[in-house]
Amino acid sequence: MRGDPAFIRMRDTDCMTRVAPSLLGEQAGLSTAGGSIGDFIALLKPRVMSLVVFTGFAGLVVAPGDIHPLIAGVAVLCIAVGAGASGAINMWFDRDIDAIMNRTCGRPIPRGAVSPDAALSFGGVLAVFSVMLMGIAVNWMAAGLLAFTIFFYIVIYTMWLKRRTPQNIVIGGAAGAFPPMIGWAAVTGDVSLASISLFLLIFMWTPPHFWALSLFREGDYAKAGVPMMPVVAGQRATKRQMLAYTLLLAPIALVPAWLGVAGLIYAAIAVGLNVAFIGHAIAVLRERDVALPAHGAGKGGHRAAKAMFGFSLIYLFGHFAALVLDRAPGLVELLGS
Amino acid sequence: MNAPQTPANDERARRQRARNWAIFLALAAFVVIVYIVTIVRMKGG
Repeated sequence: MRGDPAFIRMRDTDCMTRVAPSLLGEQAGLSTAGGSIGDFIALLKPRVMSLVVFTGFAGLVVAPGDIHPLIAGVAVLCIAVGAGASGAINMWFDRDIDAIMNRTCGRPIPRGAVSPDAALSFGGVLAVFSVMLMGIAVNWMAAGLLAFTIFFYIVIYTMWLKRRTPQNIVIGGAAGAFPPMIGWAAVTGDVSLASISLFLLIFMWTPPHFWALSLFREGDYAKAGVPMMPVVAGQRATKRQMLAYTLLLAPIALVPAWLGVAGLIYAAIAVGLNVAFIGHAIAVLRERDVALPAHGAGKGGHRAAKAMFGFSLIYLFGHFAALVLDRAPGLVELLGS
Repeated sequence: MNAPQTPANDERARRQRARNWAIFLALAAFVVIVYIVTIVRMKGG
């Protein structure tokens, strides 16, 4: 499919105006060959999955208690498959707006590689399998949290909030924040203040992360009618809120150290990352607003927002890597000697 | 009645085979995981 001239046109230019209508949406003129394995893997949103898996793994590592390495591996696998299932069902529901946005029109459903029904079945089966396996192999608290995460992402975020309110990713961000709690529950079988602190770290990180993206993808969201903050409240208000969230996030990021979930390595890295993140937010605020071009592509400018978006990924990865490092056997003693 | 051999049909058959293998491997992996987990849990892991 990637070699198809129609697909190349679709990726290079505006999706709706350049692609034959038969390649878009419901009457997608589905590829008669059906989806390839790669298309079905793409439905799982592997890049999102990697961050989810890593944060879930970190929650599992820092939780107090013991877990058999194989059971831990199964827990991480279930988190990965559950996240992938959510991604597939999200792509099924959002296929109409995915076909409009430049960022998403190359996804398997709008491209016509996988039928919407096949994507829904694929996601549904994987969701059930991941939750049941988590329950049977690990424990039912972790399975319940995984099921709730999938429900929250699909029903609360994708179906309800995403197209209705600019607070969509503020509330919906909870879905992406649950994985460390699931990893923690896989070990302890419960929910604690410490695991909630890991949840809060991702929950508060999500708005500035997504709003940075939506600043330089504003035209895409406006075209698709998704009420992201810059579309509804304007760039200036969005930038102010991004700074407010990064300022609130900084003390929250230190709570795991305060609660004893993490030690000095984490605290030192967290301080550095938060100072840098606030610096990025200030740079975004100071950057000149960019008027949307008439065609709505909205790709120009926003250098600071793009830099902040890239850094936000390092920020989250850095915090959870630090959590894991703090628990690495002998590392603290080595640094202290 | 077999479908006539055309490049499109060949591609469809190739992808169908690939999907069948993927489903087979996923189910086999699931069976192995459940088996090993059962052994581990029976030993009190």
